[in-house]
Amino acid sequence: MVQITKKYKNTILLVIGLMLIFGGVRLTKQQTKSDRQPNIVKIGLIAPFTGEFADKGKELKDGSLFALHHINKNSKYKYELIAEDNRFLARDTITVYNKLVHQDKVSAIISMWSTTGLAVAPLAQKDKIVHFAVDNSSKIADLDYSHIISAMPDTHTSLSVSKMKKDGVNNIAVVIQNDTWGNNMLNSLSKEAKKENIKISSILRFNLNQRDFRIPINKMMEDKPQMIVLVIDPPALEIFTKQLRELGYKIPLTSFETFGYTQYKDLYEGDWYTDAKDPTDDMVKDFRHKYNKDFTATSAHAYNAILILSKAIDKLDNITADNIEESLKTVKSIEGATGRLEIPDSKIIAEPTIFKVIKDGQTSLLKE
Amino acid sequence: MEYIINLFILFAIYGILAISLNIVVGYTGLLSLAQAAFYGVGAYATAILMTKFDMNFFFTVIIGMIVCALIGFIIGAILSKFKGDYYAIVSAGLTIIIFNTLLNCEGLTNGPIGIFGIGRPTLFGFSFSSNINFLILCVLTLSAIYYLNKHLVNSSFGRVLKGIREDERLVRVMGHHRKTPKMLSFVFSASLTSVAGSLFASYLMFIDPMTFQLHEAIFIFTIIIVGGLADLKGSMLGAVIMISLPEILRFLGLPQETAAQLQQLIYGLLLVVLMYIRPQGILGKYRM
Repeated sequence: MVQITKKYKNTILLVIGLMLIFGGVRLTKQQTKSDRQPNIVKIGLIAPFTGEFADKGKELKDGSLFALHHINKNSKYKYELIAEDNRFLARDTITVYNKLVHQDKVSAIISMWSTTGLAVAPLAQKDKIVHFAVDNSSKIADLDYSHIISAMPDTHTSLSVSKMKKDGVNNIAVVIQNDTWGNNMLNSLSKEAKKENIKISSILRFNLNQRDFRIPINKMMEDKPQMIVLVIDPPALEIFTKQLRELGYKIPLTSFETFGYTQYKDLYEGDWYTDAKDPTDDMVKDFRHKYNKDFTATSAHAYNAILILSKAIDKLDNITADNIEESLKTVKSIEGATGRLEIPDSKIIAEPTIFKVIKDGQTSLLKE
Repeated sequence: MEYIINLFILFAIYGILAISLNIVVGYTGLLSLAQAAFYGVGAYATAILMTKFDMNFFFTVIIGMIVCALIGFIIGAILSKFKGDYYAIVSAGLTIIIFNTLLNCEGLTNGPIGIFGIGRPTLFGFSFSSNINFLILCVLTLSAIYYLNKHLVNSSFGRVLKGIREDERLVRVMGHHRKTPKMLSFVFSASLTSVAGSLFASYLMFIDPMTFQLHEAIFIFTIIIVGGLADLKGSMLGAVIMISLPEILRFLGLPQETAAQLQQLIYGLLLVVLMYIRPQGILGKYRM
């Protein structure tokens, strides 16, 4: 190592000191401002807006803002969204959570996916903050004040397995990415397949950065499965499929939601999959008119979560977490982005699931 | 106030991580990227022992330190044969191996789902469940680790480490071993890093393997580069800057549509400017 001079040390320390003072002043000012607005209900959103999953975070934010655009037209309170980027890191999640709850004084939190939802749930229970996770990990809903909303694994897999049975498929192979979603889907699929006597001949589990599947594909195909269930996200989804086809295997494929995400839909021509129910045509049209983009299932989940919360909060004069929880029990169903949605007491709100098929390189509804 | 307390807790946890790393990088001159691995092992030791065996937090910290010291001993013995870029690559390999173990060893670590429901520490009936109490615990731990390291770097062993950093051959000529001090500094750093992992797991009450990847090792490395190599106060200052800077940027009042992206851009630019005008870090006297 090279020893060098002490140049600029004091200047940098002065600048850092001034920045910390600036931050402190802004923080105090914001605190005062947030305490002065009694008719405003703030809802916090914790999601990644930068990094690998930024597109999904953005979809969640768009859906939330779209919900507020509709709700604020004739609601008792004016609802505001404060969205903070957690970069999908645990460290940032906890910091952002504390900012939203203790600084911005939000009345409820929406979080995205299990990494965020599982980190927020124990904190929300400790601080008594109503929390909606757009995720399918039921562990989140086990804690007080936490709810989950998404298309649930059991809904997907029971639908999928029923079609396999109907089509005479008795032996399947499963390819999963080693993350929470992949494992939740696999657990549910194993349970449903066992019920219907469908054999899972092989399970190929891989880490998210794996790109060469040729050796495991050959090994997997030795068991002669009639269908492969792909529980993987792009780009691994397309890479796996291309390698499978290059090796000469013409086996039918299916997935849960992910065929809808890929830009290379022609790889899955004729294959069916299960997906969360699409937003209604009116919603899609209205959303496109306002934001000039597609209204996705993720946006719809956020829309529905905010709508449910607003229905519960609008009934209250004194907004506390306990009162919101009590009021949520009285909201039995809503007319949400995907149509009528039933709200059970279990705190697990399952979005409806449907069949889709890839036809002429496009997704379309499969009537079953 | 809770928000500020949370930031101070993170300053303390990352301060411990940075001080531990500075022993290896700043004082011994070894480019280690293994910190995230020991951070993860410490966190998982606490999470597993507290949730599955209902063990007291403080015992889990000790066990975590022992496990990390053992891993550090084995890996350190291998690493002590390397220096420079090779040391960095092999130590980064350890982080990747530990991450993959945490991800795939489902029976023990619960795989990608992580471990949920980790408790806060208690000692003789006194609970650290409130954030202010937890902050006190973190500050006490940081202080203890700071003084322990201060004593170490000023000892004769510390001078040997600095000697290795400056000229390994000279240390050998002076009659000292080269490999043993390198390995011991690595083992010492590993066991202290484990303490930060235990505190983090207990504070967050949930952990999954995603936190303990190579990017976290690079983040800790950046802390000591920004704060200053071979300076313990610099490590703590680096932690304060790297944790608080993105938070200050949240209050700039940037347009909501692009706020997150702009914050990242400004954060990156500030670090580049800082490294340009002060490559040795703010309190550092050396540069790589």
